[in-house]
Amino acid sequence: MIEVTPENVSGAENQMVMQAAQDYGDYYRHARAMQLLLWGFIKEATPRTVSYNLFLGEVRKVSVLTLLAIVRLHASQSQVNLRMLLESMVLSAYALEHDDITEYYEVGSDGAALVKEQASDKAYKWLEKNYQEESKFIKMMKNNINSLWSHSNVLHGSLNTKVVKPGSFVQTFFDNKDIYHINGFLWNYGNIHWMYLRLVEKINESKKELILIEDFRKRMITLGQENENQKRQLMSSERYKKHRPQS
Amino acid sequence: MRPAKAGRKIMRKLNLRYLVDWYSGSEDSQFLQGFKGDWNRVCNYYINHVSGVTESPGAANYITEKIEAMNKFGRLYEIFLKYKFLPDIKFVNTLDKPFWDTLKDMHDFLGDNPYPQDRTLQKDASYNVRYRGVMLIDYLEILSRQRGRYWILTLVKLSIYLIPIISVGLLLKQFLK
Repeated sequence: MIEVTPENVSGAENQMVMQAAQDYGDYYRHARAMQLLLWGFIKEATPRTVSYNLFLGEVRKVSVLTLLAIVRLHASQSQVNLRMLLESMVLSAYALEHDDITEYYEVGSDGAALVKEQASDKAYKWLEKNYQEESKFIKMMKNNINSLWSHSNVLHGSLNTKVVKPGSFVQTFFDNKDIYHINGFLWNYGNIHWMYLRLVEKINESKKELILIEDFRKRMITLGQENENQKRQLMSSERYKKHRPQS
Repeated sequence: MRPAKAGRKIMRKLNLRYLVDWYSGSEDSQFLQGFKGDWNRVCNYYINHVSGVTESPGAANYITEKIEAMNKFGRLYEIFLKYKFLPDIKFVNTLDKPFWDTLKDMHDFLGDNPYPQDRTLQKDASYNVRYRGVMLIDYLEILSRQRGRYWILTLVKLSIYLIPIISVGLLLKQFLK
């Protein structure tokens, strides 16, 4: 058995990422296309988007980390990242309309920057008032993550613990590779990105602080359809049918 | 802001998700609930495994079911092994290995007794045997999800019996002329 060292882990993870397109096919390609669009959807921005860009930096970074965590077989890590991604998406959307940077932080008497906690509350309230569909969607996504993945619980450990013989336990660094689960995570990842990009586009329709790339809408239509198709595919699987909520 | 349910269905069909400002929020929520249910089931399965599998009555039944499935699959395996039929069945999205490699893995897991006929295995087997059985469950579950392909296996089975019978019949017919 290979020893769990940072070097070995990193090598194995690199292989997983390089093989992801082969392993997860269209689900990975779709998620990757959404991630790429997120990184390149703005052609130009006005100087009044400083706060937005600060939050966008976080959105973009956490987006890549989330995708990596999914294909590197770290399920709960990927979902914790996803929650952070949702939070930064809300703040960035709010910042596109509210560029005043002092809304988000203050400077203490010792010269250190301190986060204004109420900024998040304001952002969520603003979203709820102005973009109800997105607000509901984000709440639902966050509740889903909070109910299972974001806090330590015994279920997480079950994916990383094996028994060789009675009394002899082995912990594994990677979760079991369950294609259905990973495809589900990849779909959800793409879905959240789509929601965010559409939200930014909507806000920008009135604010006009950003110039989006020429083929933005065309790509969104294609990706939106892909995402819908993937959901149909996942919902037609036997495993989903077994556990779907009874209406 | 939210269109009616029927309207949503039409929009979905017409690929208007983007243009009509529509989110499939409730459907996504539905999917995620089912998805989570499956996740919990998998976790439960591994917890049972780590904590001794057959100690819980539910898990005992589970193992019994799986042994029955192993028997079934064992017979199919024998046919495949003998006739090397349909080597290119692909389980692309569920298994990362070609079909024959998967079969070989299964055979290796089961050692000398690839398809135990004895149901008392469940009671008497050593932990190690049970462990190997549990490892196999993953494969079996995947295969059982490929039910759509089982008609092909049935055809294979039938052809094994029918081809010799038809051949003998044709020969007899020639002699009797």
